[in-house]
Amino acid sequence: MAEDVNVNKDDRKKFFHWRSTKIPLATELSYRYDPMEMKEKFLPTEKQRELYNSLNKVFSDDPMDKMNKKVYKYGGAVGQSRAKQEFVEWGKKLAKERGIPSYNREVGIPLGQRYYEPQLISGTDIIVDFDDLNLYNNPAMQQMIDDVKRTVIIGLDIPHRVLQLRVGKEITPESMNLYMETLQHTLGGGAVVQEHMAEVHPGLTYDAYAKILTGDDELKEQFDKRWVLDVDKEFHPERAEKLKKGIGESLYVVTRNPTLRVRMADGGAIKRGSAIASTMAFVASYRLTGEAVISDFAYAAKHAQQIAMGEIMWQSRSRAENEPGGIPYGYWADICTAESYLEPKPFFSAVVEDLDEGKRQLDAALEAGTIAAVALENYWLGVYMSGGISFTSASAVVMAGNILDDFVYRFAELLHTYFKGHERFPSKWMTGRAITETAVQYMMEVYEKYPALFEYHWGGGLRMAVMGIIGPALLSMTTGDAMLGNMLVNYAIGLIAKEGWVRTGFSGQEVQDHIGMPYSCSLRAEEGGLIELRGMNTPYISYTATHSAAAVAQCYAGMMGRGSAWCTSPLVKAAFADPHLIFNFREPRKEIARGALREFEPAGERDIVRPGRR
Amino acid sequence: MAELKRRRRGRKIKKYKPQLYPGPDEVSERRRFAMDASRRLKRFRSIPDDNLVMLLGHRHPGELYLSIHPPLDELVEKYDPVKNIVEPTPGARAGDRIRFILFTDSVYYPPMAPWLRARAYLNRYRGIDTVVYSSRQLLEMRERDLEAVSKELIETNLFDPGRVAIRGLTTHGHSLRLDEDGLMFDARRRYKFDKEIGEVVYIKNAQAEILDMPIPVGRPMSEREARGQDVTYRWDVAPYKSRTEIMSVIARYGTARIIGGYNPELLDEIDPLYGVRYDEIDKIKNNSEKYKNGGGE
Amino acid sequence: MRKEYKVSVYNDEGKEIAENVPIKAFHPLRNPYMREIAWTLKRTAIVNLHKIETMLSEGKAGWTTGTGQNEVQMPWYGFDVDLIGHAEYIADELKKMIQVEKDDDTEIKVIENGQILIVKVPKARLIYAGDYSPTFTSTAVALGQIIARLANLTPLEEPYKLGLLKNVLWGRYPQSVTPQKGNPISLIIKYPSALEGLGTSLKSTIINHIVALVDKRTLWGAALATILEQLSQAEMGNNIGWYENYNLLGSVYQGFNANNMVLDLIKENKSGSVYSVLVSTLERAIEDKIIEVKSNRYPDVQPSGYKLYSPKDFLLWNAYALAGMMAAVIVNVGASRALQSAGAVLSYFSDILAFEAGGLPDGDCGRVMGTALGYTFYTHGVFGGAGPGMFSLDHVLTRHTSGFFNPCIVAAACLDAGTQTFTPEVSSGIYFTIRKHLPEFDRPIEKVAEAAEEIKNEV
Repeated sequence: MAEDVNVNKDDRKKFFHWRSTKIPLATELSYRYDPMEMKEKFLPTEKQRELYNSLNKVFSDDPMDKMNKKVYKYGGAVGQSRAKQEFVEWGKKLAKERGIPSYNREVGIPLGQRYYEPQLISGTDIIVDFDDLNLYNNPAMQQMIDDVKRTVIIGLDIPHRVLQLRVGKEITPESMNLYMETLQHTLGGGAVVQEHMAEVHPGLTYDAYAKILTGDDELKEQFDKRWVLDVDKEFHPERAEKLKKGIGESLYVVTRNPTLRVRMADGGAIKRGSAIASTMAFVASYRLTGEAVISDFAYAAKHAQQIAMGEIMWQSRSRAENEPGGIPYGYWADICTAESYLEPKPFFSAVVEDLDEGKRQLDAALEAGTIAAVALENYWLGVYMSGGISFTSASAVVMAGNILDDFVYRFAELLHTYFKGHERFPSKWMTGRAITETAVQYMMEVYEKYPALFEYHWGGGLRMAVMGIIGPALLSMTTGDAMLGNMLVNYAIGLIAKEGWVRTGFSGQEVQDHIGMPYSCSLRAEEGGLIELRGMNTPYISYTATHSAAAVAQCYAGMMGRGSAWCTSPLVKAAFADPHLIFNFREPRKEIARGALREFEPAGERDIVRPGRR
Repeated sequence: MAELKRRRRGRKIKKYKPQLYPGPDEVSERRRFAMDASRRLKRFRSIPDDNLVMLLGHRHPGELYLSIHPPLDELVEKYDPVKNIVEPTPGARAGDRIRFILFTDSVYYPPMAPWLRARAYLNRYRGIDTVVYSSRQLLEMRERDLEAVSKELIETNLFDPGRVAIRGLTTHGHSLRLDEDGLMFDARRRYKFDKEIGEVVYIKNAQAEILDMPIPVGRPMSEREARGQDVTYRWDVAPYKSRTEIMSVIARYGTARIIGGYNPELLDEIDPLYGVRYDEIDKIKNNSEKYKNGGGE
Repeated sequence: MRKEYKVSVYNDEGKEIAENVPIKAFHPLRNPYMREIAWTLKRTAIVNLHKIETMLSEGKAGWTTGTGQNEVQMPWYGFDVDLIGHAEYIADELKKMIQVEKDDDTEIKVIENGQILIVKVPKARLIYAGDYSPTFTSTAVALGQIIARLANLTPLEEPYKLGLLKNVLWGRYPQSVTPQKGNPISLIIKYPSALEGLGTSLKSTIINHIVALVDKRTLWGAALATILEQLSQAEMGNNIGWYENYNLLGSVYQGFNANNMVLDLIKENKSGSVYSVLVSTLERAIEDKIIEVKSNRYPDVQPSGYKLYSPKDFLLWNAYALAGMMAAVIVNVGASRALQSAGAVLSYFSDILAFEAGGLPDGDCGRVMGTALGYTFYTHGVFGGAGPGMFSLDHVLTRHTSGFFNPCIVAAACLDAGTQTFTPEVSSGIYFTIRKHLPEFDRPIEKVAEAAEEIKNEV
């Protein structure tokens, strides 16, 4: 196969041929080398990589070996996995207890003919069972989405104006603080207006609360610190400054409904829950009666100044507000606050100056990808839309095995070494195209060199998702343009990766890529638009999986590339840097690992009212 | 039409020569070979008809074909001038039901891969339905047509018993490491390597039902042979990063789609390969002395 | 200044109907026949008196299933009333109630011995309405009153009968968003409250209905689907400015057999494969100087001799690619006489075309390919919706092109010899009947071309 590359100069004719232009054109021969010989040369270097070590750890085998002599001899998944053993025990127990069979490993396909690999959570040393990353089994993942769903931001400017102008009440620090104190009571299910009311056990709704959010320092000072979401505290000083400017002098209240409400009802109930709690708190704290003015409070809280995370969806996917499918990509990028303590320096300058800083920024982008993969792939598509048990692999590829981390670190090193003195790549399709080609080809080669990695990302859809995230996200990071990044996602998956292996993902995977290319910059009704404001309700996006992590990563990467403090909305960004949230949006991967280890305490449980718990 | 035909007759038109696929290298050539209906596939092995029927598992050998509608000749259809132009396949004519064969192609030096299968199928066969997945490729046809095509697909160079598998369900395994005999992983263990005869034998049919007797499908290719058949670009066969022709084509293709999606009329003016207006390219070409003199040489 | 294009249109027997007509005459808002189709779609309601009678007597209404339709059963509320016997009377009364002015354009036809009424509401009802709801609402309300009177219903005695009558005519509406599936009063297109998105109403009918409306005649199906799609493109604002010629050229070549291209390609490749159609398409494009290799130097000719074709006229190239696509579908489906492969042909034809022509964009710049991939996946998988014929033209799986995807599927569905579970006969049986009484849907290619011929000097 291989031919020697060191040939005589006389043989140049073999390598080049001349057309009428007389330009020497390289033929395939000029790129030939002996790959096996090369392998020996690069092996020691490869062994130093995170990728090699992680795969070695996960597979307890040489990840560069094409053969697995132990295959078929692993003794099934039950023999290999603690979780599966537990499932089998429970299956038997349930069958006995209820008289109807339950989980039964004897039906369907025999699992675990091959190595049932555990999952190493990226950025940590934690190794967990694959089953522990299933959305149903992982309370941290569930809480992450619950925390998003139960958040509603309400503007207070209109109610305050109404109070002053129409009711003639004075707004003082005391009255505003009384309102906030009342709101903490009403949000959890306490009554304030009717004198004969059954109320909610506060132990069930301990996670319901509200916080004041404003960009005006003086205004902030007037509030009790217990219910202030202090941007200065939660962000790097420079980010805080930018955010405060973005939020402005207006006054907002970030409300968190109890998780129990999300579990009982849906996002529409949250929207109304926040509105009614706020209106009640106004009525009680400003001693209003049943007069016409009250409807203005209700209208302001429910519509005029309500910022719900998501909007209602098209009828065929019909969901109320605040459900994951209705939340635009840009908001998901804002919901991840992994970057909150990092200096808001454009990625390119950051990585050129300090490699570690660049890597930290890249880590943050991967955290955003993780949030999107869990919320949109596992939860939205895997549970809501498909009616399935969540596509666990789709998020595992993003957050496990240090794979994506390794890929992006290599590019960071490249930038750090070769691009000193540059500030940014131009946001040009031609530039992006060339760089993405290189990135995707590089990643494909890594897969080829590491059979264990191929096995780890066993489905084409998973590998395509990785390539869709990494190459284009680097472009968004280095240009600050999320739109360009998204165009390149389509190009990377739909064309580059496809032609190399003449193989992509599952057949419907490239829907978004082929439609996405002509749609990207179109001005027609259902086409085009900023990627930040598209989402899972956009018709052409709505029915295919494995692109949302990439899309959110583009939005987030664009933000990091620009060095801006938020992606789409400063309010959403600030709202999710709140330390009182049950799920820590700064470190989603670590939180999910805690969930897998059964160390995460979710909210919304009913233990208090279960028998014998009083 | 009449006018066009007249025009056509009037001029001597050079017959169009299909180019199929870009690239000067062997992998491109293999892709072209698989796709080119005018080139006969190389026959590597022989599978008796009955064995094939058992392998597919849709009917028993000798059993009649089930039909889903009456034969076309007996079917009373509404008048439609187009319906009778196209010749139906034998299976369609007989009203056979539509059955399928699925091939899973390993990532390790496969002689075929899903997207290429789609291209080859549509080039070579008539009346087919196909769907590309990452590991497998579905081919659905009228039953008797399917059997004929399957035979060709298994007996020729498009099949490697070690790295291509016939699977009806539980199809994954394409990206897994090979087993100790160098065969692609199969969670249903439909086949194994028979050391005595040195061939791969199927002990279950495509639907993973145990066969009455094992069916040999030939000797698996050695790694060296498989490399010589590989249709994918790999770092150790033919590295993808040096495929300038393919990259030019897809660069052009992707860019043109984006421009065309925005404003289709622009494509008459802008070269999608360079993203520059055609007249500017001409200007650059004319101004470049270096170019005129044949580049650096 | 935009280029002027002219085409000749041939019917499915290869006969020239219109010669050298400017494509502007095929604009959905200018072509009188296309306008008529839009108008008919909007104002036609179909009333199944037989079904109403049965439902009333069995006490059945408000189901949610497409087939079976018997999960809601309240036989104790049923009552008998002879509607079919009074069909003429009902039609007369209905006309009186629906018409706005005496002798306006209200039309009511009694067909099938009184089992079915075709109701066309007058212009005044629709022109002063925000959408086309009155076609359904006014028919249903009027019919309710007529039947109540026929059956001597009164709120003071057995009031449940009135409740049942309302639910028979309206389903659970407004407890549900639309009347029930298979409602005895129906529109050809979707109820406005079921629409998703701006401007998708005129194409909101299912593929099998169109197949039935053209009596399974392939190129008629393609033409009718093209008309609906292009009307909808106009409704969505998609065929304006830059896209006007693009949409018009694509639709006349693909849907109306312009210059007999589709038929020629089919005839040339009657025993050929998808690829042979593709080659014929390219041959023709080169011959007609639509595409060319700009020079014999790099990069137009690559080192291996591979040629990169460039468009001389991209809009025409797109139209050729789309016509080739239609022919390829007909050739492949014509060979297997099975609808299911249409999606596969549309996606992989595009893919092969791009690599054959050196990276020239495929039909509709990739929109058709992407849509087809999704369609293929969902018509072959566990997440799927149904057999290919059951999708509506505005379905989220089929709507993402400039109107060039569904005509091919409709053509394929016409060619199906009966391999589907949900055949047009099963899902759209009534449309085979009413097409005889709705001459608008007959001979669409001929009519669209004749209409274009009529106005060719005006545009």
